[in-house]
Amino acid sequence: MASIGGYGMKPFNEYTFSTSATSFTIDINNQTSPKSTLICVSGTLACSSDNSLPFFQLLSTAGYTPQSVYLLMSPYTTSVTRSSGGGSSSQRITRFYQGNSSSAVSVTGERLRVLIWITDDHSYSRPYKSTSIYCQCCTDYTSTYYHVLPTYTVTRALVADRQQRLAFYPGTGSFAGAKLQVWHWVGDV
Amino acid sequence: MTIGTFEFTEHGAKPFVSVKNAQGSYNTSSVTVDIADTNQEGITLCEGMLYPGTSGEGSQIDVELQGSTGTVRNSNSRVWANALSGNGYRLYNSNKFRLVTYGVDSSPYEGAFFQIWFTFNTNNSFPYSDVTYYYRSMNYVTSGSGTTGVRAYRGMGRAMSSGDYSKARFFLTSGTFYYYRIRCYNFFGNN
Repeated sequence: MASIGGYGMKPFNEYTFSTSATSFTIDINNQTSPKSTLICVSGTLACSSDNSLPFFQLLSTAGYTPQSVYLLMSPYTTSVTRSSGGGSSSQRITRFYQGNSSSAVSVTGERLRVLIWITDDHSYSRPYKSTSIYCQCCTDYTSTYYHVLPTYTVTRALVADRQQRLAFYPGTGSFAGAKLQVWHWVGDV
Repeated sequence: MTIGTFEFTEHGAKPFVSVKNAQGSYNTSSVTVDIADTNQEGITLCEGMLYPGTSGEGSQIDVELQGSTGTVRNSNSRVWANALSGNGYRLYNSNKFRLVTYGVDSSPYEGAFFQIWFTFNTNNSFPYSDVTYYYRSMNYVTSGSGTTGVRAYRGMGRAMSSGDYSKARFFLTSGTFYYYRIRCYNFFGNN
């Protein structure tokens, strides 16, 4: 349940992984009473392998099944990619390879930061229940030419049902660690 | 309703920083505001507008990040969208990031407007101590920077220095501000 603390909303959930993981899943909404409609996810992911392309999947509440989505990825360069049909379930967080140099031990290490806004509207059957995800990713790569490699993505569920979990995958190898926080900002009750 | 430093009013969240110069003055070389009233764990929004005086005509607007005692903190950053080149303007381990890349004008209504979202994860030493910022900005150009019209930008950056990131100092690459207004809000905290 959302609550207000001394600096604004308190986190709905916090996830910290300090050991290697090939994937992890977070709750973005209350599983039994999903009333929050605007959700913010922020945090840091570190990959154990170089040249990783992490992605997330939107999971069904029942069965943790990856849902089909429409998706679009807009990197800071001009080439935009998008889904041509409804068959995709994996949304890349970044278009650019994520490095792993000193990722777990140094403030200057390569990590991948995300700021994700989720509109999770499932209170009404009409027009339809929907989940939309807007992700900003700040990718690091150690080349002095690249470094910050921004990517924006938008994702929309194609299944009109509760979508209350996100699963993160590294693409290659595993995550060395992560910390994500989830805040509920707006509810519809 | 007030809890800690967070105050929620009948109109919404109240800013923890609200500064302005609405009278017009050529003496403001930079504006510094607190950005991290979130116990170093959470998200804040810094938004506002910056109008240069005639001495700032054609300048860019940069932001320097500082610790609580004014120590300069470095970051990597990139600003792009309608920027000076296709891949934008990037800085490595720099003491600033670029908020506006086209030269600002000093004519009325031609200042810069911006929103910067700061995310802080510095309360715990492990797994990582991170500060990241995501911003968008715009200005209106009539001279000195090509075709008349609105310029809009998007940018991101990440911390490269150890220690707290507590302040942001806005300044022109040359010249002084005439008007400004900046507000900061803490929407998301950790306790």
